Amino acid sequence: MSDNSAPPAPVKSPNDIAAEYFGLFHSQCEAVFKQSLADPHLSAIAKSHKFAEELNLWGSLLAARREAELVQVAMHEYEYSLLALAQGHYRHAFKSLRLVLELSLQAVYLSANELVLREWLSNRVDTSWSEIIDKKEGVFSERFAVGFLPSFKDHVAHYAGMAVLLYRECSECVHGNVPQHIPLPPSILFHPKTFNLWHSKADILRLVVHSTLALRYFGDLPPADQKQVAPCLAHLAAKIPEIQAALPLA
Amino acid sequence: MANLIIRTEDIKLEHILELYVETSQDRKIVEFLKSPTPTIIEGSRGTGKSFLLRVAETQLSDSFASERVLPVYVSFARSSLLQTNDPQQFSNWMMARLSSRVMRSMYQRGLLVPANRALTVLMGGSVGPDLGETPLERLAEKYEQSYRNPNATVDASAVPSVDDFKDAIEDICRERGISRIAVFFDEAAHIFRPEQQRQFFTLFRDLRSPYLSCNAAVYPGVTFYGQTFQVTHDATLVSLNRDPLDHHYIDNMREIVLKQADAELAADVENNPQGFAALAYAVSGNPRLLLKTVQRAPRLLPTEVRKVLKEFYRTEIWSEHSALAERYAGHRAFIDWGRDFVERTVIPDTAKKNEQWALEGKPEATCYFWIHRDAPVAVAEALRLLSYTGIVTRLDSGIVATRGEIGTRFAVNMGCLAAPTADPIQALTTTGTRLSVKRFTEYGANYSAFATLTSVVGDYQEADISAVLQRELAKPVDVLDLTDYQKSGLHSIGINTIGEALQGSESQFQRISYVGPKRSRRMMNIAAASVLEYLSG
Repeated sequence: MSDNSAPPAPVKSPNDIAAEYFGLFHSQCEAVFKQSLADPHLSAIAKSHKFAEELNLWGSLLAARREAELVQVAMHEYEYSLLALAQGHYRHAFKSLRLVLELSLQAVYLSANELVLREWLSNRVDTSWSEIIDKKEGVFSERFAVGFLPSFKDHVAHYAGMAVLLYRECSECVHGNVPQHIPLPPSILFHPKTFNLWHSKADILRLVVHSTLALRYFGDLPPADQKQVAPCLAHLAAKIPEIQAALPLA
Repeated sequence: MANLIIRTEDIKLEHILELYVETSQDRKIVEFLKSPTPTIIEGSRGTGKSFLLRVAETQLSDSFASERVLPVYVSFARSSLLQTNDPQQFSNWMMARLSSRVMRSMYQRGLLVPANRALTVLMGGSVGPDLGETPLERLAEKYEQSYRNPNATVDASAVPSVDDFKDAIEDICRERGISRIAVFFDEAAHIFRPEQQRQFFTLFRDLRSPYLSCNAAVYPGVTFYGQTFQVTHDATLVSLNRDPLDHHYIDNMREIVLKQADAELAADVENNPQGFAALAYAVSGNPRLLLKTVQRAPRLLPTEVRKVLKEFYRTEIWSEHSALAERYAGHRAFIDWGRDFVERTVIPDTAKKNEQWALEGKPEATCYFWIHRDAPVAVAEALRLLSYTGIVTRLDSGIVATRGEIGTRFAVNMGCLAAPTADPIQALTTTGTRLSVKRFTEYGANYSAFATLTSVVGDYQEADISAVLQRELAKPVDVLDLTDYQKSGLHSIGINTIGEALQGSESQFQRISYVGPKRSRRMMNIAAASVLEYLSG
């Protein structure tokens, strides 16, 4: 009796399967990466990347404060978000964007209550997003503005609105809701619409985070530090006279 | 000396309710302003129109979370600076200012997120998420800067039509859960620009919608309503006259001062009740004049009060009225005749009556006079201008006088009435406590003094505002209603003319000795408000 069938394929070891499986991912990610870093997309990446440097600047100016640690974590998370975006991991890119928002605003929120900050840093208490943006006590409350930078009082509600909306939209990617605002491609491939949308959300994040940090710290910074950070806050110059005064004359 | 705030523009919105002294009339007016009924408050300079608009705005603002009525305050004080060659410039500028103010009021409440198509109508185009200056704000600014370059062309294509604006407001209200937008127009129409008055009232009427209620503060002289606006149908007209006949008049006026007084002034008000009462009666219900005159007689001692009454009501209040004739030469005959009529006829006639009644031991006095309804139109125009400066107050029309004749009743300012007497404090306290509105001097349709006016005035001519403005801007800052310290401060930094004060930057103001960032902002605002008030008439 002859056996005409082909010799059985060698059984793949789990390592082989994993190597092949992740190799495929790697090549897909690499392809997306190349597209993300080719013009005109590279310019968008470069523009958004600037915010990481700006967060780093805030971190260094606030280095003596305990909450500076959170600002540094937010900066790293933002870079991770950009990396995820460049590789086509869009859901994760948006999730990280939300985390950057939470961490930055949480740093500002906790800075106003050192005991809670110490408890939070030692993992003894949690804070919630709703506490951070509470209308009466949160970082965008009138009380907060009057306490730290009164000229910001008329503007807090607008930034609160932007923060809440950004958080809600990015949350779609955390909870896996049916996408309403953020369309995600079904597999790893370059998706220009989602790519551009991330940059537009990152722009809003930048405005909100800079404005919140300015609201809390700008008035306390020494003049030299104010001058250093003022160019990041140019969007507030027409609204906040203290920031206008720190900017170099046009 | 207490540093009293004379103008509402200088009061921060959060302090408005702290300074509010509510009378029953004020409560009624504020309720009208907050209601969906369009309301027009009419009152002379300094009677508190802007203040009540701000009270209504603050109260609606405080109840926004539950009532969802969004208050929007729009001042048209800068209208006198519009100098383009566009015949529609005032309408366009009003729409641009209104749209921008609605947008900014929503911004302050965080109601502009997320952006949508209706919002682009209010902005005149799309704007980034951070909401910097909008195209319509830039457009309004261009119109306001046009006095520097008269007849410049401004592209007004971004200005929404009234219908587009109303549609946008409806969409926004529905989408953002706003039940209504209550608009408060202040300085609504330039007293000497009838065409602006017509355009304003036409817009006021056209804006009517279930989602929008309009209210305005106007001077008594603003009467050119245009062809479509009818006062009784299109708005409720309320006159803001604080009546010296009110039992609580002196108490209310005292409270207005005490709200801002330091301990020393409060004690002086308590210790010199007669001096204070004289000043309060003299202003005939005008809180701004009261604060101004109290500031000039800080201890309220009889000698101080007498001096202020003589100086202010015999000279300064009249100088202000006559100065209008220099700026608006076309009205000179009306302004000069009005002064002459009150000084030489109404005041002597009224004083004579009061003296006679006092001699007879009658407990009555008057500051009222009556003009027949068929008196020449020119007389009405002269009285209109006297009402604007507050020298007379128009009380009511349709008043039956001797022989059943019908006419309009006015009150002459009591300070002007008492100032020529030997003891004005005594005269004011006596007259003030004995006033009877039923007693008035009558001037019939053909009263002899009227003929002198009708013989000198020709057809009414609208002033050439462009020429007026350029001339006014070149005048020295000393003509402005500022303190001597403020004036010398302006001179010390090279701001010598009204035009320079209008263009002065905050950094320039900071160069005045002992003036820091906060004070410079305040001084700049005071100078700008004073300039705009001066230019508006």
